[in-house]
Amino acid sequence: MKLQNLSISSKMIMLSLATSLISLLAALAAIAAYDQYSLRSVLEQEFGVLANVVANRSSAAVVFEDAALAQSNLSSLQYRDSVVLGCIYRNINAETSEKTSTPVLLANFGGNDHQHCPEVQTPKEQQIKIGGRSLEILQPIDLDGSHVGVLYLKASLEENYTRLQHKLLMLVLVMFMAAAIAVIIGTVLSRHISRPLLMLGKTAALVAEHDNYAIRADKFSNDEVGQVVDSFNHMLSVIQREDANLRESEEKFRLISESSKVGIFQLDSQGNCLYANEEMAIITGLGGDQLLSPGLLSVIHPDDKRRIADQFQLLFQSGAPHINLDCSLLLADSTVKWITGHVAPLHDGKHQQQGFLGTVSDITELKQAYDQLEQMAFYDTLTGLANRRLFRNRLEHMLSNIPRSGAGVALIMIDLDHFKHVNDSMGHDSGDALLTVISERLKHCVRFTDTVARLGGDEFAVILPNVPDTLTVSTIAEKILLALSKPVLLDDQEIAISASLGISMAPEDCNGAEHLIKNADLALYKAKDEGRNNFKFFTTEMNRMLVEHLSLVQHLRQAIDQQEFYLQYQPQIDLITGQLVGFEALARWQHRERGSVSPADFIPVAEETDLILPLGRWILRTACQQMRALCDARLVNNRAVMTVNLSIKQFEDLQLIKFIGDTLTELGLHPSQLELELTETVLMENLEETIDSLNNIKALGVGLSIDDFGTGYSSLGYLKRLPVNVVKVDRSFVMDIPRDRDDMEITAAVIAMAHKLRYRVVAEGIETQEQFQFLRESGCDYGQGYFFSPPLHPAELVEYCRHYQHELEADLIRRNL
Amino acid sequence: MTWPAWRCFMRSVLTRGLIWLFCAGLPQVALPASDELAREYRIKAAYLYNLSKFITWPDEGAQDKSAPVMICVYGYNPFGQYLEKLQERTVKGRPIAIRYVNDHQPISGCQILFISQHNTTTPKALTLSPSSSPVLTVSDDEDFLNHGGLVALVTVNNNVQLDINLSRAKQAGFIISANLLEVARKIE
Repeated sequence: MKLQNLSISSKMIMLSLATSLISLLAALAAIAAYDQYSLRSVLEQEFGVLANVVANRSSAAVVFEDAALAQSNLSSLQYRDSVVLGCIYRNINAETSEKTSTPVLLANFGGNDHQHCPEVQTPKEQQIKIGGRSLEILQPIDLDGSHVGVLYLKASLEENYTRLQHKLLMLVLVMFMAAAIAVIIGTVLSRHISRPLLMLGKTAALVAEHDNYAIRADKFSNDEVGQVVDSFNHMLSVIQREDANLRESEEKFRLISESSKVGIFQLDSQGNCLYANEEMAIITGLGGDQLLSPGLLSVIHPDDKRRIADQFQLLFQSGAPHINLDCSLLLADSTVKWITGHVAPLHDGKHQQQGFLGTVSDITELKQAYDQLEQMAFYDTLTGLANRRLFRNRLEHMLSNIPRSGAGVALIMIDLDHFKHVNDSMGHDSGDALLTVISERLKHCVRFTDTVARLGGDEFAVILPNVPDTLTVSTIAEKILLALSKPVLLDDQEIAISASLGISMAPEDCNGAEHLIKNADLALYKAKDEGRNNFKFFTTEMNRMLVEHLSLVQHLRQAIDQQEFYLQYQPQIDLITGQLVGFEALARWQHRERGSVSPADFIPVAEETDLILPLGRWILRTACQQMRALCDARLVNNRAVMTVNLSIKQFEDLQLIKFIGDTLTELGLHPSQLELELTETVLMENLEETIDSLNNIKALGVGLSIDDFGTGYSSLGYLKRLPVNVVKVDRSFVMDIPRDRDDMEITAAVIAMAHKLRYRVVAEGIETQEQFQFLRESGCDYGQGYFFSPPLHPAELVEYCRHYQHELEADLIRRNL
Repeated sequence: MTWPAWRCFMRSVLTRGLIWLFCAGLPQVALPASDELAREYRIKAAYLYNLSKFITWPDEGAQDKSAPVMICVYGYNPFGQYLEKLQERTVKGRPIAIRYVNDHQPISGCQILFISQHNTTTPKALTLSPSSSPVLTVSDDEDFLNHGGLVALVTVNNNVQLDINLSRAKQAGFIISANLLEVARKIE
């Protein structure tokens, strides 16, 4: 029973009890002791006096040996209860007045069997001996300065002891009473004190139980307990206020936290999760208890678990200021998410660490977008092949490795032949599907270490590092061509395509990626040029050709500025009537250094660049001007048609139609006096783009003709859609007349078909009478060629027209005759 | 024996004694004592000594403290040498001197005058009024008090007892201790 654990009641009672008992005991003990002492004193004194008196009174009796007197003196002692024995002795011999050797009993009083006068010695002075139960006095009886006798008194202290016993009994009694009173008082007092305290305690318990800080304790008294109650109530007020503040603050936090789109969680110092908001549940896919334990850490992806665990170690043990959580999560339902987050220690007002606060955001979509972007940055979205950028990087990387590895690097540039046609005829989706198939095939043709890239459109490239020689590359090129030539199934249609490959080698053919690419391109161009579906290695010849080509471009550019161009006109004759029906304007270029450059050379170059636009315009304008001149000179009638070759490229000139219209208007020509001619192949290849432009030209009233008809693979369906008037049979067919019967048949068929379609037919390149004859018989409408006239300069043209007219008139006259 | 009886007896003895003394007029002579008589007078001598201790003389204050206390024996000396022994003692710090006197010698200067019953004559001084130095007259004549004596030592049944004439003593200026008075047989 520990002292501290006793109640105040008990303590007070015990204290009270102890106090009373101890003080009583002490007091009574002191009193008793003093009493005893004083009693003893008193007794001593009393009996001393008594003895003295008796002794004095007995001196005569002693010297005169008057025993009776002595006896009677002693008898007066009877009045003193406690005197049990009195003895008077003489030590004077009455006879001799000499001292006796020992005192002789003279008289005695009291005494019984047990008490009789003892042998005594004469003391010099009063001797008091207080023994346990009796008091003995030896009093010398003096007479005149000498001891004549002894008085012996014995008093019983029994009475004293009885008194003492009674006192002790009383003491015990009183103590019991005092104890009882003390207990009562203690109880009362303690209750008085402990009751308010208990009440206070109950109030405190109530407050704690109900979390109600509005309760106040009652004050019963104005003493120290009352002060405690006041302080307590004051404290409650403070707590109430603080609690309200806290709740408000918590509410605020809760609102923010719950509605936050960021996951918020709180850890304690050991890393156990104390709180996690709704967003955390959404992010981790955990709910309820699982959200707190095992919590976020349990859904960290196995790949990142180690790293994140290390991070947390840093935080917990090394006291890092904060850590980043950038990792992936693997949820229970196997979903993978990406998060970014942040955990930092929480400090309270005194900078004591209270745990940790963490935030995480779900960046899965962002990451995916990022990854996709990355992918897109380096990979072609459709085919998954490396894109131009990655291709470029890889190429440069591999080229930089050459000094170390020593082996060569080959670059193959691949262009799909006639891809555009497929795209146009079957739709873009089919085109995409085709590209995808091609990509797969390409990948299968090469090694793992090789790179296949799609550079755009229908351009592909393959980088072959570590190739020992060109033979290896040739083999691979063959393989590619073979693979790509296999038919592709698109929308239940089998499409056969082919590709052109241009190959350049490093380090032989280049000193840089750019150079290598350019050379491969040149080789590709050559491959295309030489019929497609083949591959060509870059040669220096190509380079030379390139240089040449560039030079030509340069000159061409200058030529336009310096007006080195001129036109020649080849007359077109009506094969039936022999009439001069029109002319074809042919562009000619006389370069001071090159000399005469064939249109077959410079037109394509012009078309490659944008030079065809100004050139084309100039040709148109010049031709129209010429026409105007001829009309003005009455050399031709207004039914004559000037035919000008048009390049598809010119349709890129958005103002072309307007230009044509304006020119015609300006020169006062009727649109029907102008005819624009496009080659069949070009037309077919670019039909969709140009059909509108063609319709616009037709809308102007200008004529349209198809050149080189029969050389392309135009379907009749397309032909139908073309707003053309005239079809020009290619010279290659005419040339074979009369040798090639097939061509002759074809020509005849074409003429017939054209007529069926209500087109007129012009045959060009008529050089012989037979050709002329045949064509006329086949029904061809017009003819053009050396048989009639070569292309003429303007001056020659004028001459020709004049002469022709004259001739014609003459002939007509002759005929009519 | 009753006091009157004793008185009668002592008177007769005393008379006899006085007559003998009177007739003889003898100087002090030590009588040959029997044992009993010796004892008796030894006791009486002791009494004389002790008496002095209980009595205050009237002029005691004026007396020289070192001067001896004179015990005079008038006439017949019954004590023999026993009284001499008293000279070894002191009373109240003063030595004791024994003087034997008779009519021819003054009794002034005696503090105690013992007159034996065997004397025939009575000292004149007795009848005189107290002088400047009063004397305590003591006798063993039982009739002494009637004759102007102050203290009588009376033998009764082998015991010596005291008779004191208190009034006369008081008159003479003696202060007698109450203790002594208590011991005394008779007090007048």
